Amino acid sequence: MKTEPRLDVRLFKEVEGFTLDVSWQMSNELAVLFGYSGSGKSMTMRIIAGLVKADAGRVVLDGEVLLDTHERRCAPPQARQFGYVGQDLALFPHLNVAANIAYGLKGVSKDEQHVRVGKLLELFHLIGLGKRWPRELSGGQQQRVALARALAREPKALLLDEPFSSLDMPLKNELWDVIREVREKFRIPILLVTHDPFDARTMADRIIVYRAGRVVRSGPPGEVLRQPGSPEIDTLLSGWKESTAGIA
Amino acid sequence: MSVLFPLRLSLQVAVCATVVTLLLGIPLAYILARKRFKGRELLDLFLTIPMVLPPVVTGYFLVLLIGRNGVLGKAVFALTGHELSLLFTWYAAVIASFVVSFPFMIKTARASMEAVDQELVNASYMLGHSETQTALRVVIPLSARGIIAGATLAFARAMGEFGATIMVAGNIPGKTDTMPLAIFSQSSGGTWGAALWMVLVLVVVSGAVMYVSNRLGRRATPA
Amino acid sequence: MQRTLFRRTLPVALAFALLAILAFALVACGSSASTTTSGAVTTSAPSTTAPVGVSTTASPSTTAAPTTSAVVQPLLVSAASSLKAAFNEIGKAFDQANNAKTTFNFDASGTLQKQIEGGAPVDVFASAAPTQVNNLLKESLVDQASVKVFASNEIVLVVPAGSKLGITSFQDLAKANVKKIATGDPAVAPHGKAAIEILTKLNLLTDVKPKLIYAANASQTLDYVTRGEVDAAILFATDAKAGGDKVQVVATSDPSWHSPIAYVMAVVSASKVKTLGQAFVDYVAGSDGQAILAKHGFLSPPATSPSTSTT
Repeated sequence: MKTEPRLDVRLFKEVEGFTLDVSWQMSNELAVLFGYSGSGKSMTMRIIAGLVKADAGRVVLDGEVLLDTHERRCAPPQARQFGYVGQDLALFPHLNVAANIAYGLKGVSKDEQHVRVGKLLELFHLIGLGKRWPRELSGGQQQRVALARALAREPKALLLDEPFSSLDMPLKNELWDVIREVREKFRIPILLVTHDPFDARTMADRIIVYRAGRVVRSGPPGEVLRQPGSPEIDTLLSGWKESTAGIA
Repeated sequence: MSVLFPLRLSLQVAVCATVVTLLLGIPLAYILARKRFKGRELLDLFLTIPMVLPPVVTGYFLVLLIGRNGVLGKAVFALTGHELSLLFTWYAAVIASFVVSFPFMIKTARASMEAVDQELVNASYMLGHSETQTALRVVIPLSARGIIAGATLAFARAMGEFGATIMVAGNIPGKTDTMPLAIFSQSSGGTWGAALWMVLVLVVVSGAVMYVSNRLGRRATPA
Repeated sequence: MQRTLFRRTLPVALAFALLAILAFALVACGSSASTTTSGAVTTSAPSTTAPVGVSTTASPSTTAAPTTSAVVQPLLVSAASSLKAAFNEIGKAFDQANNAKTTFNFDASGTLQKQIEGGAPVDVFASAAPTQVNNLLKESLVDQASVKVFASNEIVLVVPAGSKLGITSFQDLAKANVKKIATGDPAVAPHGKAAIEILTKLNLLTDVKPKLIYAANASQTLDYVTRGEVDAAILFATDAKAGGDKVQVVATSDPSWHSPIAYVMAVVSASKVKTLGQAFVDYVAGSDGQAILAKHGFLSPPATSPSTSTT
């Protein structure tokens, strides 16, 4: 059954010898941008977020045109209604956990803020940590605060840039569960960037395979893995075979 | 005429100069630190050159600028019909102190603001905050240490200002004799002992400022 | 490629520029002008004629000791600022006639006195009042025998040219629209001390004192009023004359309103060229010197001798 695309992306950018030239779509699902480091995945995400400028392109979210270089339309990152968690989380060190989470809640009364933050603390298993400082938290807790902060605004879509890198297995497991919960509770499109095939396979409803600034495959994991050819897919494939072989 | 007048005047001048330094310095440091535009480094040079210029040279230019027949003096007269009568007043002392101490604040504040992680700024944008809101809620709070260190240095410099002050404010007892000027007068007049207490006050103030500034500088800048 | 080339040459270029500036500064200092600006006590280098012992073409060999007039002798004269124009002219004439090189140090008489007390290597001292010379006499820092009264002056009230404040007399200084009045610091400048005496005599001191701006010396007093930074100034008639058409004399003080003005010179006791110093004193007191002084507006010396003046 075909569903309407929620996010439509067409981008072109040339910088220091690297050319990004991609075109893909995703619906209300968890899509993974997968590829080797330096293939343009993070750059794509930052252009979608509005933090980096494209030379040419078009980005449409839920029917709203965020970027259209032809029509000279470029919405600032503030207006794009994405939840964004960068690779280094970027929690504000001078604000406590509750203040971090509430940061995106503008024009909301203090009481209402308190209520929403409380709900998010509960949702992300951070109860009692509201008054702590980010540096006092464990890695996993910091991840969850970053997610809670991004989702506090009830964004239309969630962008996660390499959330799993520099995490060891137990934390990765934790994070997979949290993201699945987010998927269930918020039901918004999630775009996730990773270079780890295992993470890609575990999370994805759709895999968009990047290679040297271009998209070579885009589709549900099963479909993508059936196509041989590029080294990236082979990597995915080999891992898949291993993991399925190991299942009792 | 009170013996404590130079102390009161010096504090008054230095506080006023530092307040102006903060009001102008924080926005200018932000612009220099985080905005890109043609002539940015030229602006930085212009704002910080009084730091290396001999104070009397700064004083010379200030007289040319704010004297009754100076560039600004003539402009003010042409526009408003009022004469610019700043020289030989304590306002001139504030202006002189401000101009020479401002670079200290700008340099430290700019460095602090440049050090704020761009990812934090991006996160703020992604959470719906405009550039100004981000400046106020993220960049400036995280640069607070550098701003305070800069303001402290500026204050000390303003307290000790002599060369430019004597040119624009003169050394009028009971009106514009700040402590450095009064020390000079006393020692020129041969009454070295009378200047000693002022010397000690300035040494103590300078020492305290240096200590605070070092303490603030030694702690690691926030991520 | 171009970038690295630029990066390498720029520091080198800067280094050369700095060296050039340094060299230029050294050259400029070495051949310093014969007059110095007020406040600085400098000794000038001897001018560029052959030093003793080195033979040059055409000039007769000089094996005599340095005190002979064949060698140009340096002389350092500390003089009151109001004497600047006149003494510069006198200096040139004196140097020609005596094969000397006179350097002047102009500042307020009191400031110059302090410098001599502090051991400054001055040969002759010319003050705008007897007080400073008397002080040095008490400390045996000048030679009694050389003391000479050589000129007098008047005190005038001036305003910047084109002033519309309607100041026509000393009394007008008390008017509300007169805000700033320049004169010398009475502690060190005789014209400032005279100004205070005048204002006291005319019962104006309480009203006018808050408006007084003290300049370091007569030159600075004149500067303040020519630049229009002050509404009026009380200074010597000779300085007003030096101000030309930038200032306007509106009143002259009656001599009875202040202590008699007497310019006094003396040879400093510690001088190494007393003969030359005395020659300078004699020149100033002589007909040539007096003529030049008169040309610049100075009056002849008063009849009273310096030791009877008030401190």
